[in-house]
Amino acid sequence: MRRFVTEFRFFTILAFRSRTLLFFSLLVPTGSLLLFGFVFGQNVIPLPGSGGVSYSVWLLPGIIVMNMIASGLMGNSTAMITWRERGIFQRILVTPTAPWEVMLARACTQVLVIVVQTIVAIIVGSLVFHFTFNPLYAPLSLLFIVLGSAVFLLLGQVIASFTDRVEIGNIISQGLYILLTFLTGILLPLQILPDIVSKVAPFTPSYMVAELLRSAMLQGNAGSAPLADIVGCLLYCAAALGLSAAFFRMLR
Amino acid sequence: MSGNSAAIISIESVHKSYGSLKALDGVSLQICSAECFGLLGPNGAGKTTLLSCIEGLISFQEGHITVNGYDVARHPRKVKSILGVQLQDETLFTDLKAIEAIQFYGALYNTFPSRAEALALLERFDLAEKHNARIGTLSGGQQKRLTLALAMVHGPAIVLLDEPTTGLDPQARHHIWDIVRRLRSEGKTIILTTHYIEEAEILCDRVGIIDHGKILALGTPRELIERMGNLSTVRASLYLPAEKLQQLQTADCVQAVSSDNGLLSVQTSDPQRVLALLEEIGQETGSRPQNVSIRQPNLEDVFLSLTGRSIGPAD
Repeated sequence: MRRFVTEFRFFTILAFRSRTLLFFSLLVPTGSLLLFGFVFGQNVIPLPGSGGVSYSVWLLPGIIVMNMIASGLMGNSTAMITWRERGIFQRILVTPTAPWEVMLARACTQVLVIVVQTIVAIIVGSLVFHFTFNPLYAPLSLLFIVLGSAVFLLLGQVIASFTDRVEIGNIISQGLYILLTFLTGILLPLQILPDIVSKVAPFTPSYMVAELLRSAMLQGNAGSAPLADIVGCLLYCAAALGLSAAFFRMLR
Repeated sequence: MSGNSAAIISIESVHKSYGSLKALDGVSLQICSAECFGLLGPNGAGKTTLLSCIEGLISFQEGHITVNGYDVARHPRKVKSILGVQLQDETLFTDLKAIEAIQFYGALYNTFPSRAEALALLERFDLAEKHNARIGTLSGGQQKRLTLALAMVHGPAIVLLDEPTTGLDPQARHHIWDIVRRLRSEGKTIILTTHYIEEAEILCDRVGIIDHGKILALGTPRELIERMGNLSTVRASLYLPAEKLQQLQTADCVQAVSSDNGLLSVQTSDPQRVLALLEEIGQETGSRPQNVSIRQPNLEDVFLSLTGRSIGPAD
């Protein structure tokens, strides 16, 4: 346990030392929240079982899911390919510590970064858009942040399993990031998207995670179809874990 | 063999292939406790592959390797905890500070160096002043010394160094040599790979010459050189066409010939006769041998006589 804590500690130091990560983790999401919130904030979005909320409040959990996608799909795939390419895995593999443990410690750091992002988003939302977060909703929200992070980190691992080059990994992950962010009801309500999109979106991991997190953060529950969304997320995790176990290589 | 005569690393008939390429072709070796053993060979000879097999990084198709009595294939974690490893072209987390790297990699060996202990280790490798510097800001030589320090973070008795001085300037290289000498004096068992002749001659108690995955010769540097008999090497700048090289090769007094970008190396028992031959051939081809030198044999000549080619320039 002490070893894991040490690994986690140093990955956390590395994360908060990285200007790139801080830019994409804090500035980009905060900027997106402000931009979308100011432009579309006056619209009211209906929520199941309540009258509805302003778009800026509805958007806030979506921004957090967007962070999870960026951190998992793009951040993790890039990191894993780089570790392989630059021999960082090799260095870990000559020690008696299992590499999966080091990867798990890094994943925990990424979850911590997302939690920090969430806190920042809540503070910005409170100050600018009068968003009020009920602290009682925090445990359920945290649970879904962990679940969502796991889904996208593992999907990032799958991308790293099928390419040896960071550039290729970036193209794939950025393509998926754009699709999952803009076409699955994270930033824009499905009602305003084309019919075909609203039919396909509920099967995507981003939609499932957004539904769960939005309900948890705004209403303190798991949404209208919690079982389907949770099982869907777990299935994505299992599939990604299986593919990674079969195809991910640590050595060049 | 020097030091304790008991074999601490035993390698028996190890075969490793990548498809049709034989990276290791029946390698057998015994490394004794407290000896510094050098694996000398050109790029692609199988040096790193052999170290990777010992480290448990890659599996091999046939043979056995034991480290301190533990079979590498059956007890990889135990073996990894015994070995200190410096990898070729090692990359660390560049945003970590040197002292943090000691603590991080120490944890991976289940040793948790305090700040004072980490500083003491850095001091041993002349890096104490740089303890707060991020790894990315260290020079090539400093980074190499840091990777050496990381190899020693858990106090291993056996250290594997894969081309520890490749790519370093002479000053940094000598600095690393001093460190390796110190490790030797502390009784560490060291296996180091190199393609620098001088490095192997100066640092190693025994040397194994490896090429195409086979150990071609084994012994102390002096033993290997003495096996050359009274052969000397004549070197000259002279470009010769293939048929003239062939002509030179077949001369009675010539043992081996290699030509690399117009630099000719001829191993011979009669250097004066070779000089005359070069003049003669030079006249026939319309060029004169330049920068002629004659020197006593070294490990490079051993390699040349065993393989018929030069070990090649270092990277």
